[in-house]
Amino acid sequence: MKSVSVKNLTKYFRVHQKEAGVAGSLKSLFHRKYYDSKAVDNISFEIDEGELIGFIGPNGAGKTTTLKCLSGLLHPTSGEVSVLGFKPFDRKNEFLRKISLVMGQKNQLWWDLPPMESFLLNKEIYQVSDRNFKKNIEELVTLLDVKDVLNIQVRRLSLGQRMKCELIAALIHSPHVLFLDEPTIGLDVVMQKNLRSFIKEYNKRFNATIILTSHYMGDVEELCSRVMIIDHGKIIYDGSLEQIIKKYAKNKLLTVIFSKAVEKEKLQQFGQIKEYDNLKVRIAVAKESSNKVASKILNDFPVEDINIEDPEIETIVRFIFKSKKV
Amino acid sequence: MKFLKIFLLHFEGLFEHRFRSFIWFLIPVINMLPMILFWTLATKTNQNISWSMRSLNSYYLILIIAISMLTSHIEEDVGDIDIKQGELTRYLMRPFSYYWIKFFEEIPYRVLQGFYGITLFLVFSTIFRDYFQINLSTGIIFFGLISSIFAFLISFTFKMIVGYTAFWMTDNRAVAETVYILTIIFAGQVIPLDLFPNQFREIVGLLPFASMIYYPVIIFLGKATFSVMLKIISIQIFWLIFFLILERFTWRKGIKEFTALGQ
Repeated sequence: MKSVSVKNLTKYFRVHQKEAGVAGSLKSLFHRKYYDSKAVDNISFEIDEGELIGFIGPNGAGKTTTLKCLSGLLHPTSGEVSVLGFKPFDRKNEFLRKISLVMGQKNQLWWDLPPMESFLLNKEIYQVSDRNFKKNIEELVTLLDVKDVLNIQVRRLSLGQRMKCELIAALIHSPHVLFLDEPTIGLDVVMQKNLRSFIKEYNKRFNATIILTSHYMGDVEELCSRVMIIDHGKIIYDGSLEQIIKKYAKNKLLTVIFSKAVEKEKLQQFGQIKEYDNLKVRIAVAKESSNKVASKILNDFPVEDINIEDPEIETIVRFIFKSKKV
Repeated sequence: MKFLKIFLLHFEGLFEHRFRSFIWFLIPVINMLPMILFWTLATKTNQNISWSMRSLNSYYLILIIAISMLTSHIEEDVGDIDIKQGELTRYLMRPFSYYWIKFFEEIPYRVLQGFYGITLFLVFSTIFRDYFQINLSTGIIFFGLISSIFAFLISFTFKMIVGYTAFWMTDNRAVAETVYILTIIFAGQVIPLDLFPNQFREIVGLLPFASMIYYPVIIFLGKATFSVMLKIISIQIFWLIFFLILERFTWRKGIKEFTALGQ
């Protein structure tokens, strides 16, 4: 069953353009120049129920704008969007009770009151029954381990604790579709890991459809089996992560640790040397010959350990953005 | 029950800013003092002024309560914070009308300010009884309260619309400040509208500003006859319906312009 369906979605913003300097300011006082900035440019895709999808792309690519159109915050310039059978921009109460949007850089919690008060407000707004509220709170608080901070003023919480409480506030009504915009931004690695585990668990347990945008490839790698790469408002890739690696990883990375020092010149014949010290080398080797090269190195040099791996996904994505060929 | 709980939760939030709220209350109090001084001198030097000094003192005392209790300042929240800084996002994602949630955010402020105002009124009208002329009857209180409710609803809805102008304007401060100046003049915050020249007074009385503050004050002062009170309520109903329709219209148009910046 499809949770999200997008056909030819386009969102333009009208942007005022001004020449630099005082003369430019005076000129724009009488004659303003505008141009249409294409934030999202004719994109189409579908998402199944229970899928966990990652939107990746550089700043200004159109990820967040797409998310805002899907959650009903922005009115599309053209195209059709359907989420759970609703037109998001109508923002019908029935629709809003089934979705949630979490933005890593903004919060919905009351700054001056403990998080529990914000949860209670959401309980009333989303009309969650006392029984469900108690059950959900207990479950979420345990999963995110924030029992001790529920009655502390939000402004006194750490960023990680606040983000966890944000998630609780957003999930109190058990949404079927969850939009996460940079959920791990600014968090330390431990907290990032915790949040990822939680998102994965929530997706599995409630079969919730989750769409996330992130700058951290770790989020996408760990959580999403399907990714959409967006650049300049267009989807330039939609598919699995494995597929990207297969398609774009022309090389494999060989990491070799030697028991005795080996000269760099002797290793250059195998591929491009990425890192070298006397006892360790990292070489990028053509994918099809990686096994042969590994066996030759094992035979010809005093090898203590050898490892063959695909290049990092981040490197591949960077390559895609640079070449823009998909 | 749901609305009461939402209201009470917002009230809790307000108590975190009780001192700030008290300072805000002092602003109209301080502003009224030069006016009382001005009228004290004016009534001594000009015998043609139709209002007595006691009436004028009472007018400004009730005006302080009306300003603090009935004048909404929601336009700053709506325009500057919600629309320009993108905070509107968190309201839009909730299954609750933006107009009403802002209403519930605003009410606790008005209640607390009103509490300060009524306390001031009781203290002044008891200690300095001879300087005031306030005779409250059941009829006056009844119509005064109805008119006050309409006044607040008109003020709140009008200020929401002023805030919505930020959907189209990068800087809507000019609109908000213009409204502020017009309210000071035409809602009777400088001088009672009764003291305006005849024809001008008629026109000003039909503008929405008088319906937001001046009319309830006049009713509580006992300066409105039964027929005048009915006329006042009719004018207020007209403006309330007009602004409610305008509010829906501007919201529907404006929300399409929302860019959720800052998010």
